Amino acid sequence: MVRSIVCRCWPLILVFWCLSSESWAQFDELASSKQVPQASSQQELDEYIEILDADTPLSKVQTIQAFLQHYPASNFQAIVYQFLMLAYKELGDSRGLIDSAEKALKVQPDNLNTLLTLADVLPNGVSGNSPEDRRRLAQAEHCARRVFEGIEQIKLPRTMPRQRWEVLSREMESTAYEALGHVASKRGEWREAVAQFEKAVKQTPNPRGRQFYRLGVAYMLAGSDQSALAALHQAVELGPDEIRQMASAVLKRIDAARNPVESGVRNGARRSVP
Amino acid sequence: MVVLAAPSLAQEPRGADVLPATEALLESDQVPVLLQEPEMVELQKLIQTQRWPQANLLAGKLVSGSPQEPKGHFWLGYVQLRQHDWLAAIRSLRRSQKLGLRDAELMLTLGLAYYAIHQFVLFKEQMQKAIEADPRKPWPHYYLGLYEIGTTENYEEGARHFREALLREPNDFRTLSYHGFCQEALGARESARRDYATAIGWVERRNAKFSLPYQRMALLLAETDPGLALQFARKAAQAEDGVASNQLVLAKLYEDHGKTQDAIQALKAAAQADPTLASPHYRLHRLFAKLGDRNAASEALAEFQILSKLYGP
Repeated sequence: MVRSIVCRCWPLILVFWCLSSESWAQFDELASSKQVPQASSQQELDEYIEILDADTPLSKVQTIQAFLQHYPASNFQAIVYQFLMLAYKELGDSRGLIDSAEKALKVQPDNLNTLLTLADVLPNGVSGNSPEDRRRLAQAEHCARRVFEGIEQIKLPRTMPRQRWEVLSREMESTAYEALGHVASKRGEWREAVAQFEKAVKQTPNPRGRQFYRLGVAYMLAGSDQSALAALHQAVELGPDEIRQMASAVLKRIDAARNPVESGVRNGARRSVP
Repeated sequence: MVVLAAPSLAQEPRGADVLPATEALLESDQVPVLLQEPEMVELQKLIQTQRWPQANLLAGKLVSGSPQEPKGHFWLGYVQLRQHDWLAAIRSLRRSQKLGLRDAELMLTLGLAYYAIHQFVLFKEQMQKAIEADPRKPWPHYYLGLYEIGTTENYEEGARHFREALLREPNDFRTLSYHGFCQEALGARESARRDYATAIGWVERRNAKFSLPYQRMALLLAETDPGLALQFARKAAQAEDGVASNQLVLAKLYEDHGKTQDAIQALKAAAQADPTLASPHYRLHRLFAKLGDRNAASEALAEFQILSKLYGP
């Protein structure tokens, strides 16, 4: 029965005409159809789809690890490592994140998502000036700068509408500027940090509280308290809650530093700001 | 000179025209079977009338009621495919396959779902299996031919598949048009012209909206019979005005006939039909410059530069 109905149900053919631009988004939105990684067997694709279906970061990590064990030479390696990177990010496992991002970059050195994620995350673990700290910051800076080069050189698939790309590329550039600002702040280069964070907030199509918070702190440590107040108030307004609390705390410290009689905390406030 | 790419799937009709035999969704010989399966009767009515959300619900119920029955999964996958829920379709169709369904149509449908997510290796594998399962069917060859045109640009292989499809369904004007296109790409212009002419005859007899043979005919005749070429180009654009390449061909022929304003309109229509195309803007730049409209010319040039940087020429 199936055969006879489908034979006469040829509106199915329409499906062929209507292949959506989003159809391979989960295979890499910026790849053209000819660049999409190919599964070599149905089973491999089934297992890849299981990764997409995993609904918690932990189950995603587990299905990815099983996939990589079953298909160590899979064409999906780069994108699977990207999923792993994002799952570790959700789990707050920065070691796992960095490890999987570096593996993703080995397979696909110019992947903008991976470069951005690494640039964003690498400076987090830096707390001093050890050779390892310096290496991390240099790697983060390198990744962020490659994002700009990648955006400049990219040839888009025609399925990526220009308007969408304009928003997406501005978002990526903003994140890359933020990463450069973060690197500069970890190096104690506050004026450079301010310059980069300013570009980040100017470039983003979707203002983010975190960027304004970082800008506010950088202004403050660069000695521009008025600008710091404005940026931090903006961070409070944009949130999320975690940022709101952090920004409010810094605002209180600035206020305390400006009104030492009332607060009695004239000294040390600036040094303790994150 | 107009440089046209191979007719990609984007040039295909996206509307209501279909081939073949959509009018006959069910044959009378199926009725006794249908009477025994009332849920299927209802599902087929929903499919016939393209009420996909309702069909999805009903197919989902069938699957829940008989989870070990492969046909339920097949129909759910079919409906999901029509709803462009590609991954869900693949899950359902794979379930049907694992439960033992071996119909050529399952392989064909699953192959199309793989094509939708650009899994070409698996698409080809399923089409080959569909051919083995039912060698009389033209459609796996037809899709393989489209794949060769649109993805690999292997026109010899494309022509071979379309010939196989035509052996099984000789009166299909799309298959014939694509065969002609492969012939043209391989340098056999006369053979291509014959295919297009026959296809045009069938398109007109069926009153179908399918522009490819008109468009290609216009290009083939552009140098030898520009008047007739323009007529074909107009028919192509009338049949499918949202196809950018139809508008580009029309613009070229208008330009050849000195109809600059008409050419500009056609180029604007091409740019609207495919906003990623740079070439219409360059040609608009030239035409505006020719008319002395410097502002419009420089705007068009700027647009050309942006688009060619983003998407290539």
